[in-house]
Amino acid sequence: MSELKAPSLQSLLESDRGSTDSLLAESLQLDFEDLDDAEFAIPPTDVLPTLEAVLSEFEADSDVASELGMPVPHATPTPSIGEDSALRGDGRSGGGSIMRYTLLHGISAQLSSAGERVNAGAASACAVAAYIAVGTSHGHILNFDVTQTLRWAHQDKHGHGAVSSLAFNADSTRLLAGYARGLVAMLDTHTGDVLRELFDVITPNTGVLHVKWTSRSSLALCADAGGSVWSLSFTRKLGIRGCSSRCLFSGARGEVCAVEPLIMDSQGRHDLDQYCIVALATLSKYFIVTVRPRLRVIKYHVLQGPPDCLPLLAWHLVLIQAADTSRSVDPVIVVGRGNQLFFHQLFVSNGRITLLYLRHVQLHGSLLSAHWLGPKCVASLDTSEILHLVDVRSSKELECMDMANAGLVYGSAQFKGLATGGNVSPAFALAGSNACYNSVVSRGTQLYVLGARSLHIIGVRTWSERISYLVKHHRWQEACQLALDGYVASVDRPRKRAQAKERIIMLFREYIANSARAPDYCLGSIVNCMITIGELELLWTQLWEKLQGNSTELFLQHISEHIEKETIHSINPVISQALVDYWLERSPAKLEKLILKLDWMCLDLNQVLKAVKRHRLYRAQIYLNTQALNDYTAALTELLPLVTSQETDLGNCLLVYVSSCLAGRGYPTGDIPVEQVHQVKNDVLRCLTSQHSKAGHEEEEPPYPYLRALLKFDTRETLNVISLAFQEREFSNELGFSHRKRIIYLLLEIMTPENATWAEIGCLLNFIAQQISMQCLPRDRHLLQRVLSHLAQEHIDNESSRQHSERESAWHELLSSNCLADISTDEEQLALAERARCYYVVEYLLEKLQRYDNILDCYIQNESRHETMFAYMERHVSVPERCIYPQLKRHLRQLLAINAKETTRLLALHYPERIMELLENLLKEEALLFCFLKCLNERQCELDAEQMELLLELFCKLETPAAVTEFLANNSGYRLEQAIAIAQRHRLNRAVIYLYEKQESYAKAFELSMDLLRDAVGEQAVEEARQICALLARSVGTLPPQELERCWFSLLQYILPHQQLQAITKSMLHEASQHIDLHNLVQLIMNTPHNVNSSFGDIKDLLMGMLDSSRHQTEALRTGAEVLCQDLHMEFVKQQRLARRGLWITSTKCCICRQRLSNHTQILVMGGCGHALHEECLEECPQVPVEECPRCFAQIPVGDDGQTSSCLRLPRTNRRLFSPSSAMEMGALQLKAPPRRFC
Amino acid sequence: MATTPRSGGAGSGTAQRPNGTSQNKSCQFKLVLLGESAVGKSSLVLRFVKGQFHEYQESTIGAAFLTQTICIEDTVVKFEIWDTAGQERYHSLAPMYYRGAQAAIVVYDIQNQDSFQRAKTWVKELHKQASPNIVIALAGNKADLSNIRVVEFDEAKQYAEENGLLFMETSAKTGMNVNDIFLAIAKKLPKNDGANNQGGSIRPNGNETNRPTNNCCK
Repeated sequence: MSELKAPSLQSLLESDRGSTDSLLAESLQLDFEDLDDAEFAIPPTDVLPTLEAVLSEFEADSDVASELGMPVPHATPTPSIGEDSALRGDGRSGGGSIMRYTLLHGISAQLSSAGERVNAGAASACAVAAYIAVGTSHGHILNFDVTQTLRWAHQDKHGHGAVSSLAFNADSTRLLAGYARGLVAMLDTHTGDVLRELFDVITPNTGVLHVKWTSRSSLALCADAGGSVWSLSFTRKLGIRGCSSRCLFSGARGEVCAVEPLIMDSQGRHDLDQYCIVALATLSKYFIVTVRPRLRVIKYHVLQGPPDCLPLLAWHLVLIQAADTSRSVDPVIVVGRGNQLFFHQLFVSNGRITLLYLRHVQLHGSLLSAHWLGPKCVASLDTSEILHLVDVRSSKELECMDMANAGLVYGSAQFKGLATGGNVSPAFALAGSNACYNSVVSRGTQLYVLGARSLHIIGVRTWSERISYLVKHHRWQEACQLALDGYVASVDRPRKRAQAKERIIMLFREYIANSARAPDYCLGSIVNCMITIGELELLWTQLWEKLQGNSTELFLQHISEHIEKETIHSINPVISQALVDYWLERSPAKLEKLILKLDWMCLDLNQVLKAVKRHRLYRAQIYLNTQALNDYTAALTELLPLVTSQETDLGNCLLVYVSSCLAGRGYPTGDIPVEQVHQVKNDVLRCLTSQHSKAGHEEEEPPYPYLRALLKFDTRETLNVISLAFQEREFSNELGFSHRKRIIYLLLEIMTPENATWAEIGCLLNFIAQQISMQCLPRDRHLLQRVLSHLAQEHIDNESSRQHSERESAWHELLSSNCLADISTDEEQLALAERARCYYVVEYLLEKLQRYDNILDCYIQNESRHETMFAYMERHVSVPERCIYPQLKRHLRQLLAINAKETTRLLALHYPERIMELLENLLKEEALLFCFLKCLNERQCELDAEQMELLLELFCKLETPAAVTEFLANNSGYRLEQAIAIAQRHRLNRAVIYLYEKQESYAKAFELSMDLLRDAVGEQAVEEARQICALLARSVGTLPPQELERCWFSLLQYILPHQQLQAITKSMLHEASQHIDLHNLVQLIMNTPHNVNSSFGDIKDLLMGMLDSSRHQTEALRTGAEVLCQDLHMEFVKQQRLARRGLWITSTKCCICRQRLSNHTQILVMGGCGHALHEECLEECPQVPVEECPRCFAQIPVGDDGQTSSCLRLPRTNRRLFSPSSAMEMGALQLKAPPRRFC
Repeated sequence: MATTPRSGGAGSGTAQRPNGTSQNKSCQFKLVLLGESAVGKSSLVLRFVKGQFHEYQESTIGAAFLTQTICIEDTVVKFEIWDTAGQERYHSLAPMYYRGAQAAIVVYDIQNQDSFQRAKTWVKELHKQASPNIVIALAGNKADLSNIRVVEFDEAKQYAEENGLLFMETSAKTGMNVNDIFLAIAKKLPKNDGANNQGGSIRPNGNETNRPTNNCCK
């Protein structure tokens, strides 16, 4: 008090020029931290919440808050995370976890009691800073501190009506209050003393709408209901408080509804600090103006919206990341009207203050208020009192909350000027119906909503707080998801990431502490969380211990899932023991999969190895033996004795294992470490070929038990494995060859006829033959003989064709690598091969011995070589010593049987002159001959008539009548008489009829057909009749009319009486009516006695048909004439249009003589190109053809009727049409119409 | 981390509490058993962990894993015990286990001089290859058969003293000295070291032999 009354000289001096030292800027640094985009996504979690904070939050959420927690300046909302969850969305965006609602019970109670006890009326305005001030409708002001304790109450004694507006200055030392009847009062916030009462600072007889402090400490703004804005500068000269007011904007030039000064606490760090900037809005525009240093409008924009909606303004400092990655912190204003929000950035560039449009957000309902809650969210209340939280960057609505129960206070009374007699404009009064400028205020990330008797806070939770909230409601799944989102979003920012990790660990501890009753609830999420952040140790220790006894199974299942997904490779040995036990009970197969994916270091080898042995999990056993114990032979010594023919899985598994070991590959995946490869290969090979098993029952067991077991299991595949191994480097040196030899002898020793089938031995011998022929084995006479004796066996029981061909190819390979030369001659081989029916070998040998005369035999005998046989003949047909033709001739029958087409092709191509000879050769064998001839015919060889007839004869004999007819129709090389004779001989009437018709002896054809008709019954007869009908129709041109008529008559006479042919009678009559005299036809029908019941109907139909056809023809004639007329007309129209089309020229000079065109002569325009010339000039140079332009030689298209087309015809007509007068016009260039191009 | 301190420990000496619930301080140590085959490593651990003894204990394959928690003063010590197989063919596995271990028990059979020699080579190998801070205990097992002993107590004792080893003669069959040797190890292990709590104590591979010091400096 005393300080205020006795100010220091310093303050006296400074107060006038608006010192800034009084601005406390209480959370400047923190605010700037808020703005850091990177800081934003993850709120600072290094500050653990104090007990008090935890308690206050607990109370706030359970609506029993009696205490207003200090507004936490660094509590930042986390829209970027909220945004993520909203995008993942599906309606549960945030799940109500973002906005926190609190009712301030203390203040609300005080408001109610003030209303009841001192008749203070309902609340009408509020302001929030370090204190909370609430004004009432009866002029009371109640000031509360942050603990909701009433500090003082003030009552207006002057009867100035309701408190319409309140404002704290920046350091919360002064409170400015505006009243409904125009009073503006300044109070000391500490004591409640009135420092100034200003009765006459605004338009007389109007109420105050807004009072606002500006960024200058001694400057405030006041807007009145008349729409004017006043600046109030407070002075204190010689201890006397004064105030001078100035009108900034007069309501006469547009009524200002909203005033929002820009207040930045940046302490001179921002370029805009030197200015005092205010945003104003009228019902149609908004302005950004500087009040200090001098009044000036920076920018104004039109602002459209519904008339009952007020403009809304709000400033906030926002970190803006420009496209060029430069960052700046600048004030951003949000301007709202209706359902639109516009965002503009204000900054200084080149010394000028500039407003830049940023973005636009459209919401659903009309808005009552729009406030920033932190730099990333805007909270806006719509007319149905639903609060929407909008993320600015994504323009997405994060959450909404129904505020209808808050009983929001509206400032409509002030806008309507009720206290001053309603002296406001109608537009203002209408818009003011939704005014709540002074009842919804924001501070930091909190929004204060004033109800008539209550005050509510909506806060925005930070990421961490949201997790806490979800945790408190046991929504673990969402909490984990949110936490993970945050963690994932913090990638690239190690510090944030560490903080997020800490928060997640905290979440985990909360989970541990809270999930005592149902430890398995949401276990999966928490496990996933911990695995993602890599804090496995906590899982193994704390969670595992927590779960002991009841829900370990679920835990193990989750862990197994993660192992299978390969998100973890190593687990704690304690867990791995439990895991092995668990899966052993349920699904050993699954256990095997898990073991293969786990690091062996974390397994209890003693337990696992015993288990896999017991449950026969071979892959796991092999994996562990090789990886952990580094023992590559144990798998063989332990598992090979177990192999039986039933255990295909084990057997195949071992084959693969052996193969991969010998190739230096790890099992089941990966590679054997390089330094071990050699050792492993040696070990495995030695083990395989060891003479006795480890168990060592030397007496009982046959030698080489391991190799024997493999061979017994699958000889072929084992040999494949060995032959693959032989390709390795180890086997290709001197030592390797001896190894090979040893292995081969081992194999031979094992595979004796006593304990192996011949098929298996065959496999082995083939294998050996391959090895020998690949020069991989030393040539051993004894071995070769043994192999050869197998290969040359005459007969092997149950030899499949595959085995036989393998034998052949092995032999062939031996021969072609010339390995057998030492032990037998080719002749002997040939004899052997023939005996063993190895024709491929025979063929090879014959080829080698150049005995070509029998080579075709081999091909013919060897089914698989048939295809190649023809290629062989084709290739060597011109080589005389190959004796192709004699062989062909000899084997003609077989060849035709194998592939007649190919054979014929060959013959017709290369031996056309020998065909006759061959045909004679075949004369006895009709089938082959037919086949041959047919193929020849199909190849369209010139067969002479006799051959054709022979073929026809064979056709008649061997094929169906239909095929014969088809043959006759498709071919023509035969003589008709002979053909008829042949057909008749074979009684193929159909063919005969066809031939008669071909011969044009229709009468004979008709007679024969009639015979057929007479013999036919039922459907067949109908078909016959139809065919005769068609035949007669075809014969019209050839048969003389009388004859034709006679035929028709005889047909009809036969048909009409027949009941069964009644169905076609009508069509027959109709058909006949075209060819015979109608008179006679009717006569005939009348004279047909047997067809009594249907006769009249048929005639009637016939007559009707005749009338119909007559009518139809008349109609057709008329239509035809009409169409013709129409065509003529169209053509005329077209011609006329062409004649009237304008002309376009590109130059006014003749393109030949280069003189002006307008010299009273005829002008010729050359069509599409637009060149024009004098007609005389064209006539003077006759070398220019008329069809092209003499200038550009553009073709002038010529119509197909020989005339020039319409385009050209035009210039021609022009020749006549252009009178000198029109040429005059052309000369004057009065061509007004836009140029048109031709074509 | 337990944040609610509770004064007073469960007790000293032999008191054991498997899977103690909420305790004051807790440490976790990795311990490895080494020694020739059939000297009684598995029996020793089985006696310590389960209090059982099997006359015909199956031979271990590779390595077996067991845990046991004991209380010592006000600290809960959790042993993660890797019982390695003694057979020669598994010898190559041992480094994998003792590299990350904080403690090792080298076991020999008092009736078998060879096993004592083998134990000596194990100790040598540990000194050379394992973490420098490793606590090594020498256990002369099968002390119940001391009447037919071959390795004299004093000889072993002297060797242990020379090499800075804990030494006891134990008997898995009677249980003699079994708990004591583990307790002695637990006592000797550093327990206040924050790095040893929970987090850093077990790592599969012992690459961090130098790491603890680095952590301290940070």
